Amino acid sequence: MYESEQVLAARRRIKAFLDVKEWPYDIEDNGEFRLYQGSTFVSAEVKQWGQFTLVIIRAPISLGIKTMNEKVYRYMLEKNYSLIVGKLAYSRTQNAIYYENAILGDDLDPEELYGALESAALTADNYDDPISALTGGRRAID
Amino acid sequence: MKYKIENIEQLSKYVESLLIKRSWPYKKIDELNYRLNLETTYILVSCKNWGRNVLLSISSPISVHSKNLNLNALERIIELSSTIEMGKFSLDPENNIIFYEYSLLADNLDPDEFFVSLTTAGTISDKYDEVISQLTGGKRYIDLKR
Repeated sequence: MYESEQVLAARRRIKAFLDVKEWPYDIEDNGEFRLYQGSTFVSAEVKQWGQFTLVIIRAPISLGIKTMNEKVYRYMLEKNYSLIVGKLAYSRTQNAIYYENAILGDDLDPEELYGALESAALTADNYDDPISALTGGRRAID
Repeated sequence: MKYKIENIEQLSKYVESLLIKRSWPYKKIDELNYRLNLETTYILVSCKNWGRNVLLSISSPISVHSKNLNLNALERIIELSSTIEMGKFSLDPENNIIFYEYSLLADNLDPDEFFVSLTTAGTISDKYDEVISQLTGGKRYIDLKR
């Protein structure tokens, strides 16, 4: 698959920033970075976005969902209102709810990346219990 | 060119200087909040503290007085929110307002990133306010003034 020099450069920056921190990570076949924390993980994926690149930071909250009803959707939208950074997102194809945040990758700052990764891990940890209880899904740790 | 920001007062001054420099019409609401009018809605830019960091919160009302927040509407809004790559839709439960929101860390604010965020907020708000207001039985911000 063709990937622009912009995407590749943003990936190189992320790798360099992670290496500085000495956080253990894997790189998936699609170029996504995965950082493990206990039994869960936070990922960082670089995408072309018009003339820019975006780094999508993602952490699983509820997997293998059994129920998506009015209560769950309302809960997610209300939590999106109280979350200062990032959002709760639903993937129908993966039948999962994730915490997601997007930051521009072209002029990525190391502190911005570290902050986004830490915030994703923390938010997923805060919400995986209540949301999995609502959806009948599993937390990543399960 | 990034600019190191130490506190929200400094951030606010910097934001105002950028808006002036790029000739974006705005209204200063108070020392930390700016309002930018769009075709059918507006964008609120707020300077906030976030732990040890400072950030810019960019928000825009999409559907006001939302009456029909039923399963179909809520499901569709979450689907749209999950699909847009930058930002999110949210529900203010007290006032039944659907917002578009995006926040960016501003300790080292990059002007280009700021204006990309503003332009994206404008594009998404103008694109989705009609669709979402129809779903929720609410009003677009512009319709409130008519």
